[in-house]
Amino acid sequence: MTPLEPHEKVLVSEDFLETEHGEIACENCHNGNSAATDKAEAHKGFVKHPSIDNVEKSCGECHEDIVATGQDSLHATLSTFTTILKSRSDMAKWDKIDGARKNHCAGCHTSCGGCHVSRPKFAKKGFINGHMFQKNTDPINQCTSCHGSRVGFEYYGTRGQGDVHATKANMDCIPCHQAEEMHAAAPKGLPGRYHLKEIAKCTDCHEGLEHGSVRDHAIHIGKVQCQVCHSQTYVNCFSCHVGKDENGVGYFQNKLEVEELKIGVNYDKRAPGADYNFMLVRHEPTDPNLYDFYVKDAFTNYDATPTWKRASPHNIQRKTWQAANCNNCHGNRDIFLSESDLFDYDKGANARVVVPDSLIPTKRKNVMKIDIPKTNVRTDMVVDAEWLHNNLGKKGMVLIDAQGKAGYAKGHIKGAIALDANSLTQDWESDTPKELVSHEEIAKILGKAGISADDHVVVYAKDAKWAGWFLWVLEYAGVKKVSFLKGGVEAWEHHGYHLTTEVTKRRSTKFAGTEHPEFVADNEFVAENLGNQNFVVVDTRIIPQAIGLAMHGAADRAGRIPGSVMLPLGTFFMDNAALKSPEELLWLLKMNGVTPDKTVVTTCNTAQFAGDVFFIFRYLGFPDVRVHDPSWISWSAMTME
Amino acid sequence: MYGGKRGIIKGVCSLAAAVGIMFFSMNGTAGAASSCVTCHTDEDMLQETAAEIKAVKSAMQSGAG
Repeated sequence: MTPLEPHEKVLVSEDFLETEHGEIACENCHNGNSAATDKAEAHKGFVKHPSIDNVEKSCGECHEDIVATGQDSLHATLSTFTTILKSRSDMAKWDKIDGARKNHCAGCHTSCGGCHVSRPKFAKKGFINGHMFQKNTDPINQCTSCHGSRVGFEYYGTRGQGDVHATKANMDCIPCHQAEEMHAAAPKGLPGRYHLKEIAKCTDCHEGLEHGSVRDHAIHIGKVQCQVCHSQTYVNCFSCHVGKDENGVGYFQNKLEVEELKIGVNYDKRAPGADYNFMLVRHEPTDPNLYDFYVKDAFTNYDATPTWKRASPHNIQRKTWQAANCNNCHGNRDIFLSESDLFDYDKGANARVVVPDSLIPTKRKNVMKIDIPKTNVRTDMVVDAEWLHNNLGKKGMVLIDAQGKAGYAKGHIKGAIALDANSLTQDWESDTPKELVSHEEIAKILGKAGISADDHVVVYAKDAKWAGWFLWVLEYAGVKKVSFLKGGVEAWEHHGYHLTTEVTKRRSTKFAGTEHPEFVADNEFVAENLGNQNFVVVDTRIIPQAIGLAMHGAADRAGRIPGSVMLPLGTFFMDNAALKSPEELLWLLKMNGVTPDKTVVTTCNTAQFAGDVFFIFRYLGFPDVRVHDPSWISWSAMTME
Repeated sequence: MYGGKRGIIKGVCSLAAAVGIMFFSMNGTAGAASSCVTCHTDEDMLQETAAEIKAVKSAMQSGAG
């Protein structure tokens, strides 16, 4: 979502005045004084958010039926949040608990305007189209501007592969979440959002699957929630605390965020369409001390409601790793919620969600094996925290911190040097923006930083958004041995190792590496090979850019290279620089027609993500992989389609 | 596939909107005539007058939320 300038947020389009809503006087909805000649006078009594603060006299004047139910909808009231909070609370302290809720947890509600006119209040507001009213909500500027870090990231491939409904069917939010659901009033005391009778269900479209041709549907429907087989990993958050800092500014702190997938026992079969035994569960971060800043011992009934709760990740794929083979799930204790996944404080709350050993489906004999040869995987291209700790400071080992200048200054692994990615790429103003500078220049920069082509160079960061890119540049420049720190900074700290702010400088040396031009592809190479059966372009951008819904600010147009396979960066790297197993990655690529016998070209907007993913292909042992260095900002400027 | 739900809502909305606009038109000034519109359609003026309200984020905040 592109940030709006202050004036853009309130600029009304001339076209709006020609619409039905444009014929209504501004003050009918917003109050204020339309006859005033100065700003202060004009805005006296002004109502910024009529659909929140004045809904019956604004939207309700015409859309009476919708407002009648919509003002009690879950978007407007977040009522089930309060219901669940109350279930855990010492009600004698409710006033203080509710005060904390209002300060920190009630900000993301919205009403008509946040879905049909402007970005929601929570998303810093601003008209999305010059105050034009839109019947259909904008998925980027509205829905996912609030439902971002989970739904939006999952659906559009910032985390994971994205959702098949977006990539294959070009669906946004509305086909599933129609007005009937969005405008529905939540009955008083609704125990949870999944109990809303109008809620979207997979079976609204996918009817009668149990009688279809897919054997596994016939076996599993009625026993497991659809998402158990069809979701990818998602993020669980733990131990949230809220408070106000010394300046009175509110904050929250999530202590831990882990990307994983957990199957739990369905403890609530009363929800519509939820009579299955197993469901995916996501950890909500409510901690017993969540509101301690405001009120101690608020949750005397903490155990009343599970914190591992039903989840509906928005990252559906027809084929997933846990369903790729019976025994990826059957007998796989790791993906079923166990007591060891719980903190001491939430064992009571989640006792009925934990899957006991006796309920884990038994491993099946005679299953068809997944035939993925992984003999070519270059295992030494990945090191773990323990290996790094034991090898730090050894002769010939260089450690590069890819967190960027600010991250390095805040804390880095002792002995690590920081490299400036910008120095290795051309300026935005050049004819070939963000493409690599010459090999000669790269060699000079690396040599000056104290790196020789014969060194073993290990790169790490907090995530993989630059670490993989540096590995590509290093291999292109001629470094013979490179490795990625699995799990990055978080894994390092998790092992009990510390960070430092002490800056390391290495003595300059002669780099002396041989250029590998075969690791780079230009536009001509890509264009010449389009249509070649032994050639595949992997588009690593987020889904909205790949399907033409959004574009990079420097691109000439939205779109993608014809025939390219959409596999966003999140497909390859998990959160916090964690890695999927080589088997899973190779299987996933095979499912998408990307196999080691082909020439693989990775692309994105500026070659950054493409460089990251280059590393994964090298790690997996693909013999011919190249980064499309000009990427979309250059390709989109060409006349060819 | 989605026509059923939408069709009913579309009908209700159109009718309500038509009645509502008649009501509003009788009770208010046309938007185009107001000083609100004069300012809020003038990009140059708004550039000068629209104030930047910076959201303050606490340094103590951590996690995606």
